[in-house]
Amino acid sequence: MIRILHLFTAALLLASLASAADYPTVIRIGYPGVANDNYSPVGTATAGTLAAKGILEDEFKKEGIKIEWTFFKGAGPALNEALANGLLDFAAGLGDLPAIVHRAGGITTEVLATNYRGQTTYIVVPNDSPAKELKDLKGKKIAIFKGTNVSLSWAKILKDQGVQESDFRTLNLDAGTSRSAIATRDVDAYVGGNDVFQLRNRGVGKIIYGTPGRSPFLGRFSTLNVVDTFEKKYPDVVQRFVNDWVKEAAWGSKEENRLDVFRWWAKNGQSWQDYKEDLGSDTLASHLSPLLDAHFYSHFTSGIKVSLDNKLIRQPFEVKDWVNDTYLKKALKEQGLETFWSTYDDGGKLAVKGVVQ
Amino acid sequence: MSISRPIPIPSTPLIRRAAAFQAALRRPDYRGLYLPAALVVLWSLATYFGWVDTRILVSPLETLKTAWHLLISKMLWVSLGYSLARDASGFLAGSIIGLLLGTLLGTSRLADRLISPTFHAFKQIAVFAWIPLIAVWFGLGEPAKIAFIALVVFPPVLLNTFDGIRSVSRDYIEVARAFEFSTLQQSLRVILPAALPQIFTGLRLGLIYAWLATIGAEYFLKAAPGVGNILIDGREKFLMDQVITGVAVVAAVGYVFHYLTARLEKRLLSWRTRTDVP
Amino acid sequence: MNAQATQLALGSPTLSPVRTWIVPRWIGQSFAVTARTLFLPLLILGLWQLTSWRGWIAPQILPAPTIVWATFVELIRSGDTPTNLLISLERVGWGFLAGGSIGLVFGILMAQFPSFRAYVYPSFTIFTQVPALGWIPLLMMFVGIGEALKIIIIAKAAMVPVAINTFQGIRNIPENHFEVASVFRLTRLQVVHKVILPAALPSIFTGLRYGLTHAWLALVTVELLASSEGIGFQMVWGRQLFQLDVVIASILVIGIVGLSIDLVFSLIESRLLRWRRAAF
Repeated sequence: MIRILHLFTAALLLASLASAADYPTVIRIGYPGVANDNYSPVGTATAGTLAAKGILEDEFKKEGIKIEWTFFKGAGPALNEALANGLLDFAAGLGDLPAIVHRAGGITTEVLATNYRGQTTYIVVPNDSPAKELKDLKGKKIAIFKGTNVSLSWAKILKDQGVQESDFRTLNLDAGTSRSAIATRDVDAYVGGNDVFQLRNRGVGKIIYGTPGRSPFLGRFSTLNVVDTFEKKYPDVVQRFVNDWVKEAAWGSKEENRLDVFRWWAKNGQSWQDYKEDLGSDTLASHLSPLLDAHFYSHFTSGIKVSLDNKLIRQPFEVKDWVNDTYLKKALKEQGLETFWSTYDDGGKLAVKGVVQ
Repeated sequence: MSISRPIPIPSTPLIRRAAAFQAALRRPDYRGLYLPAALVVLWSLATYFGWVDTRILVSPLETLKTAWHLLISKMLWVSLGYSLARDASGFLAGSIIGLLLGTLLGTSRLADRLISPTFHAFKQIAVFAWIPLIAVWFGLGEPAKIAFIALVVFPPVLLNTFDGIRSVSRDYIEVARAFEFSTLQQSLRVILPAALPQIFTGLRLGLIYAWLATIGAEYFLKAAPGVGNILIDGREKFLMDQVITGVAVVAAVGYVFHYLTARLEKRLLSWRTRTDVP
Repeated sequence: MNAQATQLALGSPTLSPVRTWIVPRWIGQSFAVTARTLFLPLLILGLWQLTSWRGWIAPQILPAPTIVWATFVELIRSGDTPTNLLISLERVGWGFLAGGSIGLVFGILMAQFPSFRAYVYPSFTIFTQVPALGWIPLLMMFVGIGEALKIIIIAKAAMVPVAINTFQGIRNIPENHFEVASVFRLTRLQVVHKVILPAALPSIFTGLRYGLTHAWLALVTVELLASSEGIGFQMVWGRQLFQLDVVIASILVIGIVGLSIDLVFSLIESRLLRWRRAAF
């Protein structure tokens, strides 16, 4: 009797060992940003809705794998610190500059898919400011969250407007603090994303510059990255993750889901009308496409160059060494979505039309 | 023999002080409350008349209401619990390191000469400057916060332990030697009690610093439940009443620590005749 | 690197017989002291270089000492460090001036006028209980994040030790000093000049010293939070861009400044208080 028990426990142990070899006990995902209340586990774009809907939790419930989402108030830079310490397996929705920074610094991740492309950047000033354009703000205090993809966009905006960073006094503040600083008029301007709409709606700020309608070169990208050691160890897990990612991106790209998508994003405390306004007449698909197409490559290659010029990174690297699109390709094939999204060329213009565009 | 009139008491400084002391004993001194009371009145007037931006300045009544709500809600006590837990862990870690190193430096001349200069140089670095490094080395979560608190706690503990052991008079050791104490007896019965007051001062300082470091860690490192988070949250949402409540909680805990350790010190070291006033 | 071997090699008098005919004693002694002081730092440096060289720790987490040194020099050469340091020192200067003077005045008033003390002291103790960090959120809402915030926080940090030490210093003057003064029938001014000041000066000086140290600490803290210039900002900039060598180089600068402040004060203290015949 005892011997059977021993055999049984031995078998159980062996089985658990075997499964342990194939599956991790926990998947740690980082998201660079926090909801307005600093607590809720929600966000925007594919990464955000993936978190909010708990899709991965359902996906991996069978194997008993725990999904741990961490939302970083310090955005990209804070996420990078966690990556450097080996505290994360995935970075979902990491901005282009922090991703470039950590890769240039030697942290080996792989890009699996795009999260959001062509994200907008705005410059907002206090309501009673006399400034009408960027040039009017020379010598004034501007709040920027350094190290995030906003600062890369900022570097490009500077060049586009023909001014230099040294013409201004830039302060490093996170998004929440920057918005408060505009409200109290502690800073003369804030360069941020569509969260600036909150200030305009409250009547404390007015927007003097926005990237919508301007060169696609100025837009921001964010991506899904995986730590290469995790990818090599658990390729099945990564594939299933990417499958869910693509499925979620496809859901978000369907125009009939437009209002739904905004409502999910609005769970982070910002009004869904802001998102509607930010998107304007663009289709969701044009932003949420997870493809790693020519536009993606050109954006990041130019991004590396701009970062190098602005001394944001010390040494360059090749984008194609960084990208691992095997999982994406497989997911697209399995779900029959190979022609679903449009592809864009180097200049960000439409190359091949997709089913949704 | 009756006294027809009271004998005039000469007015020397000492007697004057004694008389004032007696008087103070008999009647509690309320004068200390006048200033805070005046400030509260000013505050109320400012909110009532709108001298300061009312979006920011909240009336004392509102603040009290918020404070009351926070007090009876679970959130405050839960946050306090988290903060105190961090405080305790960091304090424990830091004091153990401080005690061990302090004893080492106190007993060994060689160790002192080798380690002290470097230690003093490191002590000069403003302690909050370590935060970025700690954030990268330990991540942003609990280990980082506890590491930071320990970092802040161990210098005063180390220095005071060192001082305490060094100041043990030679004579005591000689008496111990005369009685042929073993090393263990020597350390337990002679060195430890002699050094204990100073070591205790170090631990007291460490406790005060630990609480400050706890708030600082919560402020600078990742947001997690805690009193520091109440402060940050309040500031971002412009809830001045929440911030003031948070500040009051910080002060109150600091005061409680101060009081408890003073009582503990009196108890533990009552066998010492203290000539200085704590 | 064997400590004993080093000491033997440098002719330390404690481990080898005095060989004055080869190496004069004072040279040997100063070498020994230098060796002892540098032993631990060099050991740490060596370990650090080894870990980077062998790659035991990722270079993003711990850059090699050589890189850190190169960055340190580069920051000075490019003018980043000097500009930022100057701005930080200026802030500390003003804050310390303001806070120190207020602290001195407070301390003197509290010590000399019992009624003032009765009104102010309890509030003062409560005020000191809350660290500078605790005041920052509140203050931020009132004065924003500009220079005013920084100067006020630095002043507060400086004021507290100065006030406390001045107060204690004057209060602890033994009564008999005053009695001797009254025997000699000194005027009030003379009492201040010849009795109070010299007796309280050591305490006041300690207060000023702690005040400046705390002011420097407060500066770093406040610059970490919201600044566009200053040495704290330089550290934040390095952290945001994941350039740890910039962070460590900034820490070096902060440490050097702190050390210099301490050194300068020690020198002044030993000079100024030379007349004291202390027991130790």
